Amino acid sequence: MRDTMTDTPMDDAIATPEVIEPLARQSLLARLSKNRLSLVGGALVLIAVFMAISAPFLPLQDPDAVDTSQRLAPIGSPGRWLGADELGRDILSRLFWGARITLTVSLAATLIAMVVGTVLGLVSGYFLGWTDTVISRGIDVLMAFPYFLLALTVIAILGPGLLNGMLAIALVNVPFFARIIRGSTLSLRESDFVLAAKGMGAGHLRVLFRHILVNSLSTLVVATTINLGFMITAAAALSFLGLGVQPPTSDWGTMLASGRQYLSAAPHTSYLPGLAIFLTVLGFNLLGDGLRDALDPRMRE
Amino acid sequence: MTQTQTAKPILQVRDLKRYFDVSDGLLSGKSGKLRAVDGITFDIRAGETLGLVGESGCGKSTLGRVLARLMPATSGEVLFKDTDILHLDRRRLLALRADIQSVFQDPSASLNPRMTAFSLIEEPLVIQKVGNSRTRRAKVMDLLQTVGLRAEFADRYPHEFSGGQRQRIGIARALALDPKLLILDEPVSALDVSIQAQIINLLAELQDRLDLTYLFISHDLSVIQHAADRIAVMYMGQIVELAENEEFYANPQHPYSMALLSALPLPDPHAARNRILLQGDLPDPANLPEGCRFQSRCAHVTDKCRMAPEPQLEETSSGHFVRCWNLEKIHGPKRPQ
Amino acid sequence: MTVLATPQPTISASETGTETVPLLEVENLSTEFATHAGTLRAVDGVSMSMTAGEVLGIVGESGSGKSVTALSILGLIRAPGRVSGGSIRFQNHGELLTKSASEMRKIRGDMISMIFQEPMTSLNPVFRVGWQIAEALRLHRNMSKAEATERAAELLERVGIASPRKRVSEFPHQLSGGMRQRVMIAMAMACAPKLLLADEPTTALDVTVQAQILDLMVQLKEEDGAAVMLITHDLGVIAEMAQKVAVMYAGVVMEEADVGELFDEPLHPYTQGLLNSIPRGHSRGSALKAIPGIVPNLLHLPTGCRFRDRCPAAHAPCGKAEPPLQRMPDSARKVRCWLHHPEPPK
Repeated sequence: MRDTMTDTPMDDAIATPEVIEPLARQSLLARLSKNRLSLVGGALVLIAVFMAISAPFLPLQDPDAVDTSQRLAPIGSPGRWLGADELGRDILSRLFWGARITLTVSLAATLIAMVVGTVLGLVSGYFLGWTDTVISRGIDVLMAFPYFLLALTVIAILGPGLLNGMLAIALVNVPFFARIIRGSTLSLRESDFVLAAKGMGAGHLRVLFRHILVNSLSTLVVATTINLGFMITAAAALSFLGLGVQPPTSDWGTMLASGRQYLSAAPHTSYLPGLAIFLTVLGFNLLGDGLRDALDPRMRE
Repeated sequence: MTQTQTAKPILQVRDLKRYFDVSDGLLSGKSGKLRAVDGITFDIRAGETLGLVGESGCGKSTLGRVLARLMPATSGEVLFKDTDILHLDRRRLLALRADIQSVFQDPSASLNPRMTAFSLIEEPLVIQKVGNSRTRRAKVMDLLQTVGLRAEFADRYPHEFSGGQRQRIGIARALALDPKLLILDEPVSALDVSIQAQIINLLAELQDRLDLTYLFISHDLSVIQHAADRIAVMYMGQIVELAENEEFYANPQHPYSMALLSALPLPDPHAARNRILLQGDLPDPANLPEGCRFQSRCAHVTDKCRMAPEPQLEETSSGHFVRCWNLEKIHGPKRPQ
Repeated sequence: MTVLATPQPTISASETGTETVPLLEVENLSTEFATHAGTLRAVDGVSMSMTAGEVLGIVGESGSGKSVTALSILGLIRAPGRVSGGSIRFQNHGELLTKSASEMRKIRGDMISMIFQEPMTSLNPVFRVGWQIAEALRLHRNMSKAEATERAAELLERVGIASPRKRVSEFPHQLSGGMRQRVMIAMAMACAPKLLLADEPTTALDVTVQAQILDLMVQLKEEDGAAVMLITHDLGVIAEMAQKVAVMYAGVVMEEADVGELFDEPLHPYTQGLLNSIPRGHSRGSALKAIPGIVPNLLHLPTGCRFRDRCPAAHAPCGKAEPPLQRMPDSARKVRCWLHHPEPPK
């Protein structure tokens, strides 16, 4: 007879094995693809990434080759499909090579900001007390500066250049990550599973990384994706002001800056890099929104 | 289970207190002490199940957490096998954690959603550096079977299990370190009736097989009646009655215990109901009245109850402790012992 | 305003001569939810009827469809869910399923109201409780603000809240759990509804407070002559409160009987299992008779009887077809089990 648990301790298990499967396992990609806009975002991001990676391998013109005969050549000129800039350099090639710089700078800056911000957020949200007071007030001070003023201050101290520009925009974004992670740490540190882990003797490192950080990962992925979009704008803006990438290297921001003077005569020299920035940022934002929906446990039935 | 009468205590709790600071809003500036656990004294005998019942806010979960060293005590003494456990260095505390483990109420909150059943059950062994990965694997598989889960479930995540199965995982990880004492904090309250019975049976079977001692915390007097050898009733941070199971249910002494028992809805439509309806709600725990804490809701309240000092927990018959001034008035003259 | 056309609260069901007519008749109700894994039928052909003044207990475990049944009656099923079939007739208002959203709004909170399990989340934290009670009155009774607030205080007094004039201007978080549930009941009773749907009204409360609330519900029901659909997983509460009981499992009614019959002689193996798995005094020292297995996933129900793989009495016919809810001879009770069916499939 199956009427007591003691006889058949496996009963609870037997009734279920195949039952739970279909509800639970669904890949992130499958959930993501439910949302059309996030697919569009993903495609835009992929295009930008493809441009950056493939630049050296494609039969593109030398992006820095000056050819005054092709000065401000319009779109569709032979050999200059997307036209040429004020020095006759091929815009198509410069867009591809520029993607490399723009994406690398923003990705590196985002990673730096993410790692520093996450560690600060974890530590301040978990230990609280004076540690939290010191870190949080520091973050508050950072946030009290207007974004760009802060970046400009860093560059004024370190001097202009690719690396310093990257550090500057990374610093500006540390508070963004620190706040998000501190918030989720504050709620996770009170959760029963953290209490249970402590009850087994788990140390701070284990609780912080194995329990709290792992459960903040989806938040972090979404925040990073959305932040990448912002970083691209910030990197472009610094270059636009001549404080980021230095000539002859150029990214989308410097292209935009140099095209600005010929806005009426040859608008494509500025709107093409502008469009590239716009579409890539849009792509990261759409993808970020889609990821948020796909990773949100409440969206999973 | 009958020899528990003579068994020596595995845990001795003496005048244990746990206070919280509370402030009444941001602006008022009023602050006080919330006396969640306020002078608790009792023993848990080796091999028994001590049932701890009380309503929400009475401090029973706080007490469980202090005993499991998940929360510091404000004052008092707790001896586990004659060792003071409130003042241990790091190394000895880690060793103690192997002996006292907890099972939590809501397994979907107490299991890390990003860990598989296997790593959840293995975690205590990893933390306590027990064995190597091969022996740990064998132990986890063994534990899965012990709690009635199939080995092939090991790689699943908590949300892929039903509530009852999740609680089995919670029990398995509590058992991983071969503890002596389990603090069961409302282990079946989040479960459906039919699943609740499975888990209660599992806990009883494990207790017999593994020689465990339980502190079974619950708000449900029927579950406690089935599962516990002795019952302790808590009200506003204190034990108001402590007795053997049969004695308690046949002969509750404290007016609060009587009200609790009478309020229990019985699954029998023909049962005669003599409900003692308590007046009012619980007093504000941060602002307790002078004298007996139960005075505002008690039907038998007298002037003595409203004056300090408050009554103490006293033995009224062998093994039966009650905290009340008016027992003779309520129950008549003391029964001969 | 049309609100004036609704019956006045003082006229009870018996005075209008509707007592012989069922107050509520649910027939073959089905409610589905679209999930990404498929369509899930949370309520699968439920029929029940209630007369004025009656307490119908609906008992079942999580996922049995008991709450969805109540929400369907109130017309509160929202996408991705929908009522996919059946009929709900309410007194002289006729079919509820064909009513427009605005017609249902007039019935809800007036003729039919609901008490939810968790009073903290069902009360709006930013409004004073008096205002929240008054809202229903102003909506359905066209009362002025002052009248409605005065009435709200009377209602609070009626549900046993001390110093009601002071309490009307408090916020939900200033009240204890028991008091919040009393406020919920006051809100539900504000327009003296004919039918009260109570979904686990005492589950979040302590036993002593639960006892107070159950007492209050009985008292109010008797004063107003309302019918109560009491949804709970607690068989103890059912035994105390209900006259008739429907036992639900995985979206269907398994057994329906008078409360005495059901507890004295449960016919369905699931009902027997539920009653046996309750811990009681005399079960001490022995194992409880638990129902093995878990509630099935509604997307993957077993073929035939949906209780089959947990049933100790399962036999050949159970796998062949789902048994109907069969009326027992010489009795009003109904059972969905081949053991009690005159012609089980061969």
